[in-house]
Amino acid sequence: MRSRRLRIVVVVAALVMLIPLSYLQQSIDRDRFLYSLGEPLEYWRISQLNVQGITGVIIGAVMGGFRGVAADMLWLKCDEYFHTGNMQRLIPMAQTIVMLDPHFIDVWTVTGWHMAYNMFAEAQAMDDWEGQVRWFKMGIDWLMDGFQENPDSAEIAFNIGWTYYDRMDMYPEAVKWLTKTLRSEAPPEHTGRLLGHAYELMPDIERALEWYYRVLRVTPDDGTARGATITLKMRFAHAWRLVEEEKYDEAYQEVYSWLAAPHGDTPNRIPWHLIATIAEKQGKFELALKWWERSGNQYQLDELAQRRIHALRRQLGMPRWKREYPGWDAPAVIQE
Amino acid sequence: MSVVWAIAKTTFHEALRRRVLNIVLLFAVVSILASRLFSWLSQGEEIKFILDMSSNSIRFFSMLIAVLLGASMIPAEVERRTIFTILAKPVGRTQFLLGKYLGGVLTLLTNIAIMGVIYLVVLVFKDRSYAFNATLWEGVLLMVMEVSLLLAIAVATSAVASTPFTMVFAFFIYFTGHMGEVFRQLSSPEHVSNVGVRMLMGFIYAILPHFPNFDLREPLLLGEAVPLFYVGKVIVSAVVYIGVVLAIGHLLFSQREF
Repeated sequence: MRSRRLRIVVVVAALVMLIPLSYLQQSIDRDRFLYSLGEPLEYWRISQLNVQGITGVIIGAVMGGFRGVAADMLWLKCDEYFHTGNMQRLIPMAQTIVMLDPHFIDVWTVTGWHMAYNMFAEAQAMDDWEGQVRWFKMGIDWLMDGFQENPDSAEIAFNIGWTYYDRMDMYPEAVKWLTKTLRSEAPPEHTGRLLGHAYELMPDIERALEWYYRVLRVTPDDGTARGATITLKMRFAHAWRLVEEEKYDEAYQEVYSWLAAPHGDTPNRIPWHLIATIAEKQGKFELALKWWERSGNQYQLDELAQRRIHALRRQLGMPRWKREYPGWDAPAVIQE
Repeated sequence: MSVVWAIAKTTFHEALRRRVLNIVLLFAVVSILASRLFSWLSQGEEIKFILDMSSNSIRFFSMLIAVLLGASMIPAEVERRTIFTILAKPVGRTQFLLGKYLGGVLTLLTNIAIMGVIYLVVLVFKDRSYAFNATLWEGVLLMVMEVSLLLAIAVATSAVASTPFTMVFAFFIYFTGHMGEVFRQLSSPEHVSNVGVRMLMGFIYAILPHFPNFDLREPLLLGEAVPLFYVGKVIVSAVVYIGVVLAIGHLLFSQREF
């Protein structure tokens, strides 16, 4: 009788202990989330993924706790898809990998680059502007998701900045992300210089010079930064000051004179962007359009010029622009 | 206490002679060594691959050892009829169960120690700084607690069930315990409208052991420190859970008629 009573006491005690135990476990779950000690895998998302590479072996690996190893294996498969040109399968595979291991930085950066560059180029080859924009946005969104998962990753922040800078010439956005890169512990060493380039192409000559000087303070041997400070000061610093003083006619004349003078080589995009921006500030939109077209015709990848051309042509009620490559011997100035 | 210790020692010595457990240990050692060989799979992040694969190998093979060992402990004694001899002596069923469990824990500790030494050697050869990382050893400690809990579940079940049933049940609890997040989500009105189903899912979530809490792989790979109070809370929860499971096991075992 006594032993039976003891047994009942033991059962009741064990069951009662389950209540504080449950609270303790849930409190540990919350700590785990608060201190970022591991994100729970949303298993049901596996069924939503359209990936043929999700084999029983991989699911087994995931269930057994080998999430990282499974992610590595799938990344190898991604590499194979990439080299065989099987792009449509690569993206869902990458989505699976980051679900398994959201801190796999290479998957975020390489897939983002793949969307914003390779898929973008495919759309470009078909003359599909909307397709290009869609792939660019997908690449950026992918990288931003990666940054949300890895807010300390300088690599992802840099890739976002670089993609804005290089792919679409969206310099204000590029500056925002490259600056964010510099706040991290180990930013790529050419980030400061890239900020200088972004500002000079924007154009904001004063800030470009400021960044080149900052780079030179850290790395006095940086030839690019040194060269850029000299050329910017010699060529456009004064014109930019005139712009800031709202003396647009004088600024325009100064840049125009520099472009018209014989230099021996075709100018890069900076003076064209600068003079077109000055013309826009003067309210001379047709003239600005001609300068943007001069740059866009010369440089196929001048996305900033192309965006301004599309916008200005729409504003002026003009038909769609078609690029005409003028060759490298064409004069730097336009017929006003 | 000396009775419990005597049973624990015998269980430990028996377990060391079991070929199947030694083969599992051999696989674990090969897997840890292979993590060094296959680290090229994760180019540029080889150390991450080694840490990930080795720590998961220790976890996976320790889990296998815990289930195989725990599931066969009492049924084997019944099958060999040695349990009648033991229980005929002044040995209580509680002492017997506790002795068996402690012997199992000793076996697990020995196996994990062997795997840990191999892990340490592999790490020292790759990157010495990781070998003395606090998070790594906190992770191993929590791993010991995790498999000790799983062993308790297996021992308690084997008190009344056959070896195959216990193995299936322990694996089931282990994998469901890793999917606690699914039950948590299913207990919220966002995902399920039926109140009854929600309550059932909530109950399962509340009583299941939350095995992912024992996993410190992520902070280890990201090089982040783990608050000591977190480790403490997980250890306390494991000890309480083991106590509850063994109490239930004791109850089932004491009811059993031979």
